[in-house]
Amino acid sequence: MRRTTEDGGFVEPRSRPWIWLVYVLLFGASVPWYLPAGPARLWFGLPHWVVISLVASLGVAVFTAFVIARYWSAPDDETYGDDGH
Amino acid sequence: MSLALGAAYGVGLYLLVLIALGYATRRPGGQSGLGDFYLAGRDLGVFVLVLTLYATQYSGNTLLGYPGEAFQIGYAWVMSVGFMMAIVVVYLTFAPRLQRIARRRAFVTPGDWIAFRFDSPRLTLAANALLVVAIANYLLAQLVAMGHVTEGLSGGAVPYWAGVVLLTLVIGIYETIGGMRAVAWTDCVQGIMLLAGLTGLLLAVVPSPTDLGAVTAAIAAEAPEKVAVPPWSVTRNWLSTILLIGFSAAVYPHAIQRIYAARNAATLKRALRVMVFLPLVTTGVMFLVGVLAIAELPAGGDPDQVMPLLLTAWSGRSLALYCLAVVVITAVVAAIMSTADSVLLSLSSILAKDLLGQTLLRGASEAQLTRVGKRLSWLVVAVLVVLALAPRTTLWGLTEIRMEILAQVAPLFVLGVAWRRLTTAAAITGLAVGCATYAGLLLAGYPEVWNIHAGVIALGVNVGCCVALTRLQAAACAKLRWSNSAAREPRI
Repeated sequence: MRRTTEDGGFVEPRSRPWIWLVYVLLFGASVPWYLPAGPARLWFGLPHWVVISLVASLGVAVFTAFVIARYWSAPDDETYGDDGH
Repeated sequence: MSLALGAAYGVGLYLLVLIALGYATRRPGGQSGLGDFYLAGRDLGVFVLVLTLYATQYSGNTLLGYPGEAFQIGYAWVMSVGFMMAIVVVYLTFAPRLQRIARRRAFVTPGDWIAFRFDSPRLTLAANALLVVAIANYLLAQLVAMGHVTEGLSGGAVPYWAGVVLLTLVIGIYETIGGMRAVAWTDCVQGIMLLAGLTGLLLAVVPSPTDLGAVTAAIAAEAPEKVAVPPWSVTRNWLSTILLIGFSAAVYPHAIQRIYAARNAATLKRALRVMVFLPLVTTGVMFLVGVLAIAELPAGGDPDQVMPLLLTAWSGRSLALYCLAVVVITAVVAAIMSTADSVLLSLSSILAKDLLGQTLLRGASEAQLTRVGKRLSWLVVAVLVVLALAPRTTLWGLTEIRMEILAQVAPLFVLGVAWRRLTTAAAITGLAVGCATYAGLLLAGYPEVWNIHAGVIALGVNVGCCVALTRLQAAACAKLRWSNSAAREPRI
């Protein structure tokens, strides 16, 4: 997998388009625009679309934790006041 | 003992703890530098950073307003979990690089980034003006909430004005003594109170799936629209809300300053990894409490009274629920105060450093600016307390639109960090056209268009202008270079 390394090993998530595509899919899944409006079935005592939304939101949280761990790397850490821009 | 008296003891004890913490976190020699006073010496560790971000991000509105929203609109309020997570996702677009640059350049305020990136005093001033308007209204909203909460929860024993003055005084004291250190450490207490109250609620009142199924079926029989799959009009608004909250709350000045205040990148990374899960146990729990209230309380009541009514009803059932209600009431006060203190500190830093420091006090030392900032805090709260004591003022109405104003500043951070080619002219035009679009839609009577917030439409126009103008300028430069090189070519 391509990994952009710049500024002495500094890596950040924003330069990887696939990460933002996954976010679009997860947030898209968390909003039930794709389900026909109308009566809901019960899953675990909640309407099924609420359960789908919560699972997708959990997916956002887990994916974010993964992205931060894997695709954000900053060789720590410049001393305050250093000028290295 | 009545719930009001129990809550009074709980809140009183809590206020004493806050003042003691403010005293304990003070620097013996005083805080002379701006970075020391406003960013706690840029040395916040993971524990403090998570709790201060948490306590600041979730205001009293989360505990009082969100159950009321769920009570009113039903299960669709599950959207609150997603839009709070969107804030952390938006952080990922700019926080890693901003934290790095902020540390190297010793940034104190959000305006420092804008001045550094765009090198335009006009743009920095305009962005600061928007930030000040937005967060001054936010602070005013917290002061008004302090008055309502103390009056409502004490059963009228503590009048509205006394609640506003007392709680503001406590915030002013510990903030002046300890600056960001005091705010961050008191946020820790406030964050722990919030988590304790929410965990207690989760354990005490959330039913088993079987019971929850019965509650859902009962709601479906009474108000089927609150359970049914929402129509397109609602899902469009839901998507719009995710965008609006995600982009605007991520650029709250006090949130940006917490990115600056992180001890290092590793600390910020760990804090955000925890933060992204907290909506599940915060807005998620409030959503469930609001849904349960649909079955428990009569329909058509005041949504803002849902939580107080539920707490009063639950506190009479057992000693454990009584104690839980006291903790939740203290957590409500804590949530309001933790947001108010952070916003006040941020406001004072922008006014002292970016506005006075660049005009009347140009060339003043950091110690002078810090002293001025402390005095400005008192001046700002004095003005806002006067406004809060007459909450019918027009400024109060502006509170509702603060997120949509903040959203117009978001491209300066998100695009400004992520897109090196973004030009200053494009950023200024985007900000101006975005604000004009938003104001135009509001004045024309369209706070929403096709269920999309006017602020989100304006943000789209703002970003569109930034992209189009930057590309046009790049194309014009390329054409000029081509013309120049063609002119230099020897004629045959």
